[in-house]
Amino acid sequence: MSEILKISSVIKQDLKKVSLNKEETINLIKKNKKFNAYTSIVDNYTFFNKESCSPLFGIPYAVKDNINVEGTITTGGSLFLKNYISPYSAHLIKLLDKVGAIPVVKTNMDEFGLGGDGIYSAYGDVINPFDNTRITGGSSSGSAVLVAKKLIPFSIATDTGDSIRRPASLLGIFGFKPTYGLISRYGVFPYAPSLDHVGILANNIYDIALVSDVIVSHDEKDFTSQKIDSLKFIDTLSNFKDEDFKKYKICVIQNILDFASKKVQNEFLKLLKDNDIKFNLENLELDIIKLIPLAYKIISYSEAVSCYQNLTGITFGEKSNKKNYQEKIKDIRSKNLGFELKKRFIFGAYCTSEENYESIFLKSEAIRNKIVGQAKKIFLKYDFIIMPGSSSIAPLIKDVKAKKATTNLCDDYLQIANFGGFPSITIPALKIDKNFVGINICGKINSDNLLLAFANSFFKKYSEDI
Amino acid sequence: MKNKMIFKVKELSNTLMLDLSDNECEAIINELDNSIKLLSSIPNLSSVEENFHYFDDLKIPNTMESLRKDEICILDNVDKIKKNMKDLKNGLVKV
Repeated sequence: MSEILKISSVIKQDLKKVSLNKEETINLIKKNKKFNAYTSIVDNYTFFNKESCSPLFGIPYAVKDNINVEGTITTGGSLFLKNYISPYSAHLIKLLDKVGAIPVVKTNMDEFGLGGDGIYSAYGDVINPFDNTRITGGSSSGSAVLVAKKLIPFSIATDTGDSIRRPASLLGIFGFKPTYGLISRYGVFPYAPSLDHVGILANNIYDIALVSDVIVSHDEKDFTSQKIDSLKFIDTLSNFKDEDFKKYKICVIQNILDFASKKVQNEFLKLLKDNDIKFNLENLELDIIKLIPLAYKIISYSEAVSCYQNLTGITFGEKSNKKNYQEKIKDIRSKNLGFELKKRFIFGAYCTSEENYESIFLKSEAIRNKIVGQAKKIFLKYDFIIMPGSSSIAPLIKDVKAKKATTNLCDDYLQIANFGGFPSITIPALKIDKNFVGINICGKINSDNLLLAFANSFFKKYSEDI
Repeated sequence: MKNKMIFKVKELSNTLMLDLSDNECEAIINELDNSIKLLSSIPNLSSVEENFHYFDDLKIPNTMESLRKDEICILDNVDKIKKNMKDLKNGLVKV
């Protein structure tokens, strides 16, 4: 127990270095408006516990703008909800309220999370603070920028494909997506419920562990919430010894790594080899891994169109002046939803229409099953899969907008963790031509505490100096 | 095949109540077309590992248990719900 308190006190000091108090944090964030990283500031939050003795007491944090925080405007990065005030807080926010952490800012994001580059928000592109000609990655782009600029100690965000881990890789920070069902999604806008996860972005793993100890908890209001014994993240982290690192078996998936840029491949393997990190190379069935992005697209778009049928402008959101009921809906949806969203909705509706359901949607589910089956076979032999956090440095915005730069299989590998619900963390590790590329570590279901401890040890030993 | 797809996309944009320009329509059709061609090029997988489900290892409690709790909650609040329904009929929510 004393060890925990010792660590907690160190963390609190570390957190204080980043942001001294609520007001200073808010001022600092406002001064950095140029990054377009936030949609609104939360200045008068009154729901937190003023009596808490948690190390998170009084610590300001950021919330991705698709998570309800009572009394705040929650836009989801969409014009459709530009005036929507959350009537209640997400379960995880209430857990943070209890320990006295304070949400101070809602962060900009790709519209409803449907976009992976940080350039699909109705409120404008989020600016990469290290090179404004390059994307930040997304959809948790604003959260990642505030953390990367050390304007906020941590941000709560969501990850359906790689939305926490890809920006973490491109901006040189830590991004953690836990096992499916460990953090309640009650009060969080859905994108694709069978793939959606809530996670954390921060500048070190201790902070992630500290927050995880608070928000990893069963919630009866979320039908997919797991009921397991406490994972004791800080305990596991503090009990993990340097020599423990070598006990674990590591694998790199060769034929996915092959799709990364040559520079990323070389630097990644150099880091492992120079540090004498023991690992084995494995291959997944190539025909199947090539289908990861396709299966992801079909499944996530199909679930998204189902989730967002309630965006009618009748019960909530922006309203239309048209007289006819149908005209009202068409007017408000057409004016307030971005093209990326419309495209994904129509794509999803096409895949789930009666004539295509079996040949397209169910076939994609079978592919997902097969991919997860292969990943599980790997986890029978190994404890962790280690891969680059992204296939390249952050692409140029102009190339992404002109569709000259797209993600490839090495990026899409991250979606395996969403397909199977595996815990996955991206940590800062490489610098290529002055740009960040992280390393991603994926672990077994519900071994999240061990994953964080292992990743922390990896970072301290091999990549802290980047 | 592509003509059928064009017709279907236009039909869906009406069903989903989304106005699309011709260029937007074309971009969606192209993406759909490429994706479906790729999907068709692989053998049918529907029978593969049919007994396996990707979330088998998760410890999610029986959802029926949660449903029953919701049901009890509704039963406990019947009077409140009846009042809300009455308010609705009286035009509390204006469309």
